[in-house]
Amino acid sequence: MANGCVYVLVAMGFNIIYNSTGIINFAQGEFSMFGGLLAFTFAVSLGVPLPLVIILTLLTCAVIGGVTERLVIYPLRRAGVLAAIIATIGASILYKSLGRLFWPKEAYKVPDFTAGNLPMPGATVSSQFLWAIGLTALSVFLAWLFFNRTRTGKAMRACSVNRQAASLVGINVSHMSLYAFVIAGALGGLAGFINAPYAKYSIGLFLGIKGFTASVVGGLGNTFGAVAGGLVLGLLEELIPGFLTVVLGVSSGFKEAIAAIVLILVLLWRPQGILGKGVVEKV
Amino acid sequence: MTAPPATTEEMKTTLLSARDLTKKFGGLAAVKDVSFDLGQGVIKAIIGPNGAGKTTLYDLLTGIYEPDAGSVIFSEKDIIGLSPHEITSLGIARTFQTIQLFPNMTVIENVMVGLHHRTGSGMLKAAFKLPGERREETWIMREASRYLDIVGLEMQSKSLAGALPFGQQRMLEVARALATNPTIILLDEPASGLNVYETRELGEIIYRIRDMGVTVILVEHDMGLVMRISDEVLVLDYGEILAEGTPAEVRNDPKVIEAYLGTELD
Amino acid sequence: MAEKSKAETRKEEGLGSRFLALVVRNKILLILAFFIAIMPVWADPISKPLGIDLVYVMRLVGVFTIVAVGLNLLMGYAGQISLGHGAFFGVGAYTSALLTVKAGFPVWFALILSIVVAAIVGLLVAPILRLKGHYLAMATLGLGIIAFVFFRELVWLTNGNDGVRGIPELALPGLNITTRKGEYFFVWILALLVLILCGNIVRSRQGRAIKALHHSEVAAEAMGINVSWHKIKIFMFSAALGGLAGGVFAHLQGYIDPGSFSIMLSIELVTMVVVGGMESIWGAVAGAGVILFIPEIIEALPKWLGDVPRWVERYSLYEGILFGLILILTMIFMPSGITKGLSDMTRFRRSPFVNPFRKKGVE
Repeated sequence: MANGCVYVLVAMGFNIIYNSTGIINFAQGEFSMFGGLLAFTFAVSLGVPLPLVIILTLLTCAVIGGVTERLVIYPLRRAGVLAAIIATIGASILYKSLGRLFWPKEAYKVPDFTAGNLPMPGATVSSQFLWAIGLTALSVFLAWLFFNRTRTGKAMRACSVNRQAASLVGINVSHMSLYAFVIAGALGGLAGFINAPYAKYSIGLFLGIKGFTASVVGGLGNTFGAVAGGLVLGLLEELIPGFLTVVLGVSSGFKEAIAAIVLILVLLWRPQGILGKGVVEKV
Repeated sequence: MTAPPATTEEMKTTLLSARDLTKKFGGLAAVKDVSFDLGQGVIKAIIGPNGAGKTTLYDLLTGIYEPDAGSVIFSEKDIIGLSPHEITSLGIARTFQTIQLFPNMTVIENVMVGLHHRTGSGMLKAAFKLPGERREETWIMREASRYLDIVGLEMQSKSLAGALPFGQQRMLEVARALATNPTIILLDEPASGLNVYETRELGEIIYRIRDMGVTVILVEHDMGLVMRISDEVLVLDYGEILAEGTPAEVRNDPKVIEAYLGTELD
Repeated sequence: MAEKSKAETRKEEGLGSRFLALVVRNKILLILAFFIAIMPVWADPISKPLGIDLVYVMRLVGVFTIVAVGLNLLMGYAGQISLGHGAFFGVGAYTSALLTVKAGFPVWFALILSIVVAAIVGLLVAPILRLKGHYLAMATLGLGIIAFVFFRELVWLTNGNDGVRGIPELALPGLNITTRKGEYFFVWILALLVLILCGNIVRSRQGRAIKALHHSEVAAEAMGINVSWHKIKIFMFSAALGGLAGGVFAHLQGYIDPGSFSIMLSIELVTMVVVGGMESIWGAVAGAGVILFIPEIIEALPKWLGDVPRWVERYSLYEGILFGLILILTMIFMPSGITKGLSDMTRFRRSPFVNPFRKKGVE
């Protein structure tokens, strides 16, 4: 279920950028990649104490998000959907290769935040898991606060509804775009951080697809949708492979395809997701 | 400007009958219980304040939306539920309020697209450039030129559609719609954005269309044009029919005057 | 506008002038064909000193041109997007490989079947064409992933990660193509044929319909074009081309495994189309050429320059970085790709330069 939390965070990243700019950020998974790898570097290679590691990782990823926006999205602000898609794909490949360059090993392990397990009614739960849930819940809460109670947050929501109108009432739309990427960068970084035992350069696409699927399942653009979607996807990933192996005698390698299949099915049959009301541009 | 020829009730055959058309968008009725008949060779105008449901009515007639209730009988069948391309094949064409040209294609190519459903060369025939396909292309090119002549755009046939001045783009839309060889053509605010001279030219073109045997429905805000050239006028307000009749009748209808309070009707 | 009789028209056009018109209209094709034909002559001698086996690379360029043209039609003309086209390439490769290796089919027949199977797969997944923009992009990406996983996991069929070995060389009935040059010419004759066919399609009624639906689906429908059906048709066609290219690829390589058909392949294909230019089918050739030659050039740099900084030598690490940068920079500075840039330089256009990525509609 820790996976579910990771997906929730990645999905939130997708949502925030989509909400403010209408763009799907194909490089979102790579923000998480950086999160995990940077966490390792800070914690293990540099021996930075853990609490500081979180902060540094989030900051760095936020910066990466911002840089991405300025260098890749901003120049293309007047081009159409296809251009932004291709550009973020390019960024995704670029980041993945940078990841591979600086962190060439197959996997890096970031030490658990607090060691040991906690006995709980019914099962023993690792404290790592509790951290994951805690941090995720905190992020969701903060995001909700931000978008519903602060001026900037509300301005960003205004952009998602009607970009032109938002700019007409004085909202600096391109700044909103920047903030969106910065926040999504941080969230992505946090996701990678929580996922840390499995940090590696190739994780970007993996997480990106899952996060996007979670986002769509829950309803693209809806914060709670991200939560719902992430949890549902995490659940499906736990249950389905077992089901397939037992019932159909099929290998577990298909697990990776599950998210993709779920994604396509949801897009075709219920594009607005469980909770969403976004327009899917079908007709 | 020539006056429209006199028609008597007995001479008109009814081409299209709409009955009780209703379309709601989330609780708000864009079109409500609209019924009317369209006689052959008639120029029928549909007018009404903005938001009165005129374009939605067009969308219902051309299959872009399905009505919540009602029927449209055209060539002896109910066309509700057919897709737009099927309706075009049956003989109803339309232009769009926001110009929907194909901007990166040339003027003549735009019209050639209108001839698509009248021809049949598939991908295989095209790929291998079979003689049948070549003959068809020649025919398409010739027909397209003819339609450009009708609207006066023959000189621009090789220009990019997106580069045309606005008034000519409107004419191109009309030519393209005509190329589908319709029985009925629905014009959606064709005079919008045209100056006085272009509007007069438009009126001439509409007469030419009528003389070709095509029946015209015209959604329009330009009252001068409407009153001058239409045989019948249908007035919509808030999605419902407010009045119907000849231009003179409608002009003097107190309900219409009230809805248009302040608007010049001459 | 009197009707001319057929005889008059034929006499008027005359065989000679018609041929001349054909040549003029297809000048790019002829130049390309000529270049391809004489290439082996001058390429082989210089391949050694250059450090690049030109004929070998050009063989691959031919193969990828075939799939790139299909994708070009889908993305550039029809305005759809497919980030999973590697799936069709892989389907074609596996179909042809398995039919020849496991079922003993003759190569030419297996290739035909790889076209058919890929087209069928295209038809099966066609429902996703209801989606647009990002959603279609993501869905096709998903398809690419699913295909890769299937190639890897259906071990009873595909041998999984072990791959398929011993794939026979290309052969036509009665003719075994075993030499390097033979393969080169086979591939390019096929590629040129495909280019001719696609060029014909683009200039035809179907081509107009496809371009129309790219600009405005609503208007295209209003013109009597069954938009859904046309989207499916062009999607199947591009899938079929992908399958053909994949099949040929399998026979050229002799061995395939799932790794060759990952998401990276799909992204390479999109890069080829984008960089080459989506507005013209020649973009496929240019794009394939660029994307396939760049790694070769970089690997050969040490040879040319003698002494080269260490980091240049480790190309494979940088491949992704280069790719990513190419994509981003192309989008920002040259969104219409190479071919448009070239054609703009050589021909004065009366019309304003239109960015294919501009949002549609009157502004």
